[in-house]
Amino acid sequence: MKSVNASRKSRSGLRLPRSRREFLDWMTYVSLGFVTVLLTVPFFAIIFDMVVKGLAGLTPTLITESIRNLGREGGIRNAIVGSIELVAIASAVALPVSIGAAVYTTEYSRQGRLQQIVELSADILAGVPSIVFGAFGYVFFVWLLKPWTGGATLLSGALTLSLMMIPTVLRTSQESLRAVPITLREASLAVGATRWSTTWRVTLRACFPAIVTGILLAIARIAGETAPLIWTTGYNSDAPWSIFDAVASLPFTIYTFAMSPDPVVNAKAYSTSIVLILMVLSVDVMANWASRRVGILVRKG
Amino acid sequence: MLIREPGAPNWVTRPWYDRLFGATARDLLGRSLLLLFSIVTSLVIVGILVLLLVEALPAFVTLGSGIFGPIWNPNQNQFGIAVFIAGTLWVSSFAILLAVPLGVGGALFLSEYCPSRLRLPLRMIMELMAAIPSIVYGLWALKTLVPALRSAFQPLIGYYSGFGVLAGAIILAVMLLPTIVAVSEDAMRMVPDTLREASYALGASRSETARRVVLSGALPGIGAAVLLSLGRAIGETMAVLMVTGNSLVFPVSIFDQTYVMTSALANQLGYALADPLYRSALFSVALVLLLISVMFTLLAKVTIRWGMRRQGLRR
Amino acid sequence: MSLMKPKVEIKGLNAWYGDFHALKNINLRILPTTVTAVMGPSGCGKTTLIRILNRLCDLVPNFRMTGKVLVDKQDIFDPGVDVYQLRREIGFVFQKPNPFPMSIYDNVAYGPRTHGIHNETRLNEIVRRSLQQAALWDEVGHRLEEPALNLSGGQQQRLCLARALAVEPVLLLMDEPVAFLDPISAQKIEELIMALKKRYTIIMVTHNVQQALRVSDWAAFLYLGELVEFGKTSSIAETPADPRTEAFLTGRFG
Repeated sequence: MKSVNASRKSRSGLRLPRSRREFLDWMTYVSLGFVTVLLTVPFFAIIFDMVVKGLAGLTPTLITESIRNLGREGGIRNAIVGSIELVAIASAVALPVSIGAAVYTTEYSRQGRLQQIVELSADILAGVPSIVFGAFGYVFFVWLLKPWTGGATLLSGALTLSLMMIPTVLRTSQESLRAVPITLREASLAVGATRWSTTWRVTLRACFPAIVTGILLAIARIAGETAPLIWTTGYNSDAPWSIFDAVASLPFTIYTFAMSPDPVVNAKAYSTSIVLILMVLSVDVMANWASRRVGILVRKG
Repeated sequence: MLIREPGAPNWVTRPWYDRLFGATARDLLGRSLLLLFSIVTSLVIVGILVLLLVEALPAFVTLGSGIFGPIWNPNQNQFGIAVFIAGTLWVSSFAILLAVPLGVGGALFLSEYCPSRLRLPLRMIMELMAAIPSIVYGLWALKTLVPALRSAFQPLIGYYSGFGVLAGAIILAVMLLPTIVAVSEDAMRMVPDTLREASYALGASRSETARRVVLSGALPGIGAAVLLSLGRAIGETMAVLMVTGNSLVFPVSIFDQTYVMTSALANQLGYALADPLYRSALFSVALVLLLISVMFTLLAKVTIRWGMRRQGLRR
Repeated sequence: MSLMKPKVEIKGLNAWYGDFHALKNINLRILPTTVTAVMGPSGCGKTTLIRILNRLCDLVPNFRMTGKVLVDKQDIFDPGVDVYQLRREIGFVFQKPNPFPMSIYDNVAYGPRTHGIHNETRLNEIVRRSLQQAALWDEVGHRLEEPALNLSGGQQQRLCLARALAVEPVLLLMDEPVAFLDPISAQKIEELIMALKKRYTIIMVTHNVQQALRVSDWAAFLYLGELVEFGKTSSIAETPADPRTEAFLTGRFG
């Protein structure tokens, strides 16, 4: 199929375009190619910038020490630990709820009406701007539920983030469960297992890597979010000891460093960005690896 | 090895709850819990909508249509959010204007022209770009893009700080490109090869085929990508916040500074606690944001469904 | 070799999928420790019939039926019936082999574990016995921890048979068990069925007349939802009573 293209391309590349049509064809090819190259320029520009301005600051102290003197001294340990804690608690809340809802709507909901409502809600939620989540979290968790969350704390921030995780995890779990062939469920029921038992011992087990991929993608997404945390997490120059303490996060730290008038602090923003990018990328790589394991299962089955 | 009782088969008689609900007790408890989770997840969007409505209502009641007035001055109790809406419209439209042609063009190249050796690295770059957090884009835009714009255009137009609509639109376009390219390319790849072959067999060139067959076939998918990107553009916060200048004037050119809706919220939410009208006005901004993004999400879904029906008719 | 007491009795069975009348007034008696072939062209209702017997039909939303189905003199649709225990006693082998994406051992042990057996010694014994009965032990006994999906098609189907046997059923249902297998594997399974019928009552759906002649003692011929003929395979094959049966047997439609 593509060999048709290849032979055409080499032909029109090797000799002068003979007709207007061939010339237009060649022009299109060149301009589209140029556009594609242009698309990659920002990527290289950003990476280059990060590395050049941030590599020098990537010292061990960056990771081992917490912030001091508004960022002029010390490291970003408070933010690193804070981000990890935020993601961990957000996942702990969002994962059971999302996966449970996905399981119910694909395995138990008879007519599928609840399934459609849940799907639609999740799709709409996926399009909501992150700052709107932040505004909601501010009023709901920080203010209304202050007696239970303690105000602008790790808990409030994590709960706000968990709301953002729900659409991704729920939809990917639903798709993964639906991909499991019916005959596997029937095989389990045929030896006398109940539907509940079948769901957990066979169906979920069969699509586990796919679900894990969805989880990792959701984690990578919220790890880089700033807007929902601005008003919900407060500020902490150390890692919090309890979920009712304020917490610093990597994205928010980058923001404050970047906006600072002090060039020393500005430079730290780049180093912090490198740390954040590396963390997000490692999660994405894991997600890729997990999704490839799904491919293996599918091929054998 | 398994113990069997003589006489009646072992599968007669079962507990009352099993008779009633057709499941064991463990089944039932588990299922109820999962049902609860399903209801909770559907209620999240409802909860957000309700809370925003409740918070924004006082502003509409007190100010009426004045909420859409042109002047935003909290100190003087003036809460017209039109300036933010205008700012968002300027930055988002220009960003889409930049991103869609470039994105679709790039997708077309990847799908129809690109040598296979380059395809994987190019796709990987797009994926990596999508993975970069928005704050990093903001940092780069603030420290590199803005000064670059300043030095490029200041000789031409006089004083120009670099901050403004153009900077916001460019960085926004950069952030939207990976998604547009990915979704458009997917849509193009879904156009069956037999259609391309038919076009070539009739003597059409690659570009003509690309335009007439592939582009039109992928149009619903591209349309959905554009709509989704519009929704994202309007809702993007950090990068735009850092480079648009946040000045309360209506922009008349792309070199003007502006204040978008997301930035208004990001900057001012915390300070509005004391003044209920101030907070309510801010939440009316949030409400507008929410409604617009929901609208684009639904439009995108409708477009996809229209596209599938169109393809069904074709085949 | 048959006792007077029937293993399965079907009385006046009618079944519908929505408005489609899939089975029309089926009356049937299956004797213990025999192999009964249920034959007929595609869409005649044989799969529907066999799925009613282990109540897999319960899962289909718009399924409806009237009539009685008795196994060991007990109505299987009686509200007092524990359907999970029922399904344990009535084993089912599917058309396309469907082993779980687990190890060979876990596949066979799945059934016993479901029904509360966790003692490792007992499980080992059950797995060995089931695999031996399915003539698979010699081939996989030394590599039980390998993924079941690594096995060939024929081996997978024998594994599914072992999985069904592991919970000690009294009745074995097979829905065209060799339809997806190569001739050599098919032959192995047919030999297995002949060996198993000494202990189990087997009902096998097939559209292959030759296979039914080879393997079964009794044969039921279904056409468009009706039970056209039922009797000893040998007598039906020699002297079919109904012209439709004869047409099917001689391959005029398949």
